[in-house]
Amino acid sequence: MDISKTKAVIGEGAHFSGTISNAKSIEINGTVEADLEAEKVSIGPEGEFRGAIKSDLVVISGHYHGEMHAHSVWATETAQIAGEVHYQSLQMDRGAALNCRVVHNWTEDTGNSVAEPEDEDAASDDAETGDEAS
Amino acid sequence: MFKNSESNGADSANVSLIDDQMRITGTVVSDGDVILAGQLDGQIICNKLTVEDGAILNGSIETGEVVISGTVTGDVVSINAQIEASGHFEGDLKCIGIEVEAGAHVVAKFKKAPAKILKAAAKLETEAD
Repeated sequence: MDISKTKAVIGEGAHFSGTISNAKSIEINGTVEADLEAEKVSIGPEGEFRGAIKSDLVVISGHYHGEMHAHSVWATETAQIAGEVHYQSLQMDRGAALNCRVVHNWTEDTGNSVAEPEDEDAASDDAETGDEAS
Repeated sequence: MFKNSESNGADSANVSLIDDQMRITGTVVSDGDVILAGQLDGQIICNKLTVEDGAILNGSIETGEVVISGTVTGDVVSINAQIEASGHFEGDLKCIGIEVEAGAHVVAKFKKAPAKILKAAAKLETEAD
């Protein structure tokens, strides 16, 4: 098996529910319902993630629904995001669909945050997508 | 759901890997293969499961094929089970084929495989013909 042992992968067709901790780098191509803390999270085009994420870097090409706290967020052109995103730097490719609360937060680490809410509504047909996938 | 492992063994897109740093609690269900190098408390249902040396699994396993090189505590329902020399297993084995390498630590009850496993094995056999 030539897959690197330091990178966790949830493969296509896999469903996971529960909690994930201590992950370094995780790639999600399947369906995951979990609370996750990791250094780097990558949600592939076929990936679907529901739940909270705390991470340094999140790259989203698939579906995300939940509350995310991340230093850097990159939503690629196929990303569909719902819920809440707290970030320090955000990159959004043309075509990415954000139907969520987006909070830019410089002072998250100190705790006494002065959040600057800013709305980013991308036209999208995905507002309700997957709200009730069992 | 249990496929012939040769037919999709090379397809890495269908492989899920839980790395050695990672600890997860819950259920993993996959049509493909799962490699566990970290720790999992819960249930795994997949085609082929490999529990690497150093990995820990507490819970139940339902697979077509399982290779245990790490530590597993719980029930295994599988067509074939293979316990390597470095493997530790405690629990119930409900399998058709069982292979235990010399040196493996096994404290197990061997039970009859459930009907769905027998059915899946029969299906594989007819596919192979």
